[in-house]
Amino acid sequence: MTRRLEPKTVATVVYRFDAPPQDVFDAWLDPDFAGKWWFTSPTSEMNTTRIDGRLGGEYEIVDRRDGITYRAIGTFIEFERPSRLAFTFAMPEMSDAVDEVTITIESDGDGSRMTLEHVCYRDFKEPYESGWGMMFGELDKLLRIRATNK
Amino acid sequence: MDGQGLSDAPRPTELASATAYLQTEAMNLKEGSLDQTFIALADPIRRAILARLNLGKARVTEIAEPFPISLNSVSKHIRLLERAALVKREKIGREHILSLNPSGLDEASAWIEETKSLWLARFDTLNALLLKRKRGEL
Repeated sequence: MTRRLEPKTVATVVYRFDAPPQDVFDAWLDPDFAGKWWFTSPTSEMNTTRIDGRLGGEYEIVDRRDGITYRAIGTFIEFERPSRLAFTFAMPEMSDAVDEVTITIESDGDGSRMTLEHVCYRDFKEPYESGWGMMFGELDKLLRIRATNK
Repeated sequence: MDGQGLSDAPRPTELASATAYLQTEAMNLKEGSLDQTFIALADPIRRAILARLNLGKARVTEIAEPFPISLNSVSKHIRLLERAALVKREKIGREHILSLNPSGLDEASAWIEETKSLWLARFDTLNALLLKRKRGEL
């Protein structure tokens, strides 16, 4: 599977679960189970989950809370039970962005260690010219200004 | 020789605009993660926390020590700085070490921190469910 080559931003999370790898892997694919943790919240009024758990399969999760409907869809682009799962993630009613999420799972004692990489291709604004150096320069000036005016 | 110190002294107009800077930006409660940055910077305690971290990494307790407010209150300020992606937290052993996020003043970093928080919250829920199921409570 060819991954996109545009500039990307990556968020990485590592988590230790108190369950073996196959349970953690399956938690993403069981529609009943996934609907309870993946894309929901305590204030959800309705939650429907449709998951076709195989390479090339699609998923759709709809969550309604506070009067707003959130719909996430995607396709499984990598599928190696229980160690690796990757899928696209999009919320078409809210944005054109299509993210990619990859999870890898290893055994860790009687539990599992999972690494999640969430890649987004959105065009973020350039960092401030300032950066930390200039920000502290500004603050420094401010503090000196205040001191001389006491 | 010129009095270098005197020539550095700010003019009244500089003072007005410099002090107005943080106050007015904090008032602009628009949507957007860059505004979170302004709100984060608008508080003197948070600026002091950032100044301390500019000198190097520190434990939460080390940062809280010089402040006259409770550790709990300092932690709230720190969490706000984390949500604004200005500060990052690493867990080393049992300790939480804080440091400045080097690219903290940009949208990409803010997205990264928000996304990480979201996933961590989901995983906490998932782990609780897995434990319940293991104990036959599900």
